[in-house]
Amino acid sequence: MTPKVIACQVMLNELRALMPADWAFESLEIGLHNRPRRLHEALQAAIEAADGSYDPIYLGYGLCAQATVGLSTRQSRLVLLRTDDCIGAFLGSRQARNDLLESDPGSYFLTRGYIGDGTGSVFDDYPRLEKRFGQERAAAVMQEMLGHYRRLVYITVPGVEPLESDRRYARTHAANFGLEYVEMEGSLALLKQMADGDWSGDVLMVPPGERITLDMMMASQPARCEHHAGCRGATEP
Amino acid sequence: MQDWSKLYDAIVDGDDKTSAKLTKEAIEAGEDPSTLISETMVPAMAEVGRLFEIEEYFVPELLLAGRAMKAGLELLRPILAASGVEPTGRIVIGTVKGDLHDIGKNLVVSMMEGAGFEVIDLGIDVPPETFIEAVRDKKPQIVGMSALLTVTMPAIKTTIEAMVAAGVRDGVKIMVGGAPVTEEYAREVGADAFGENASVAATIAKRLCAEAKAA
Repeated sequence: MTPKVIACQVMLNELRALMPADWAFESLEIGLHNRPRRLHEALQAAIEAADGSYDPIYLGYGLCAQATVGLSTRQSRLVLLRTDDCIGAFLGSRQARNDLLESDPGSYFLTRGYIGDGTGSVFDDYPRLEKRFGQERAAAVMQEMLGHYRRLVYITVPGVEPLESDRRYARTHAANFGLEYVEMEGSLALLKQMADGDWSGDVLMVPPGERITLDMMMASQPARCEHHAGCRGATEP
Repeated sequence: MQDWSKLYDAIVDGDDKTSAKLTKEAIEAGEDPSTLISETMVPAMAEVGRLFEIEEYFVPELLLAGRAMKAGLELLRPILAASGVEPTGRIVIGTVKGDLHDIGKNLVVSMMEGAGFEVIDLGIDVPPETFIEAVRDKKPQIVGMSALLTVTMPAIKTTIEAMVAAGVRDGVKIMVGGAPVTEEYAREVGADAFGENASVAATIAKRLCAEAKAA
């Protein structure tokens, strides 16, 4: 049976490049990540439409604020990323994302897909806000939304030179909102692992009839310090 | 009570300056602050929540509405305090350790204040020890915790565990919320309640507080 990919628009192009062209592809809008329950419903509907006609059904999603918890199929296998979000997917592992969050919790991330979509990032909303609320309130709201972020991190893909227009977009917004602009090389290793059929580690295969649970999605997390969250037991008491 | 629908509109439109101006007018007109809050401001925020649910509003609109409500509340608070109105209860609230997101938490703070609570806002990236100290010092009836990321959500569990270990868990009701948090997760980590959104959170807090006082 032909596989089908149901992916967030943010990683559709990356997945296409790693997967055979004759697989079926469908994407859902990035903005759904702000509404996990709606995303869950949209995903379950897309899965049901493909269930039994395609196998496996690949989800270009991670845990995504628990939107994927509870998803299930009747006939096809489901394969998805055991990362918290797409940042882990673009950095190549859940651990890489966790490490980054610990060393610098104040990063706002952009990727090719975020910028290319034109609706995905917080900055894309600015023209609408300015039109509706005027410059003063629009600026105030952006300031508040970005208030605790310190850096704007553009994740690049190894071997693919970032588009100059992406760089300009990211640099301009970083400058406008007082963020430090950083380019960071990501990794497609995890997406490639999923595409190649190695469903282990941070790639999860769920057989038909089984519901995705939070435990399944979190199981590959490293052991955490018992005393307090955010501390890695191996290095701290 | 006079018709303060323009204040209602100012909050729904996220216009903090007009909200403050109209609140001032209401005060000058001798309007009862509690009535103004419960019959104009809180319903306005409920409407904002509804507009978000049906996807006419997005996060920035929520944030601006929260600011507009706050602008009015700040003018009313001293009057309420001076008139000796007893707060509905006391809440300690914060975003858990490792998490810097507070738009949702700030909305909850506004709604709780609107519901007459005294709110002690511990801010963002709050370690368990700070929650514990605040419970000891401030003696709240309710502790609220928020997380936006599934990466930081486990800190809700570790904070509750730390509160148990410190012996401060039993004296309070714990409410949790945030985009990735679910009813099921709340139950699993031993919280007393889950708030789906800011309006619901305020309603639940009132119920929990009444229960705590009755007990």
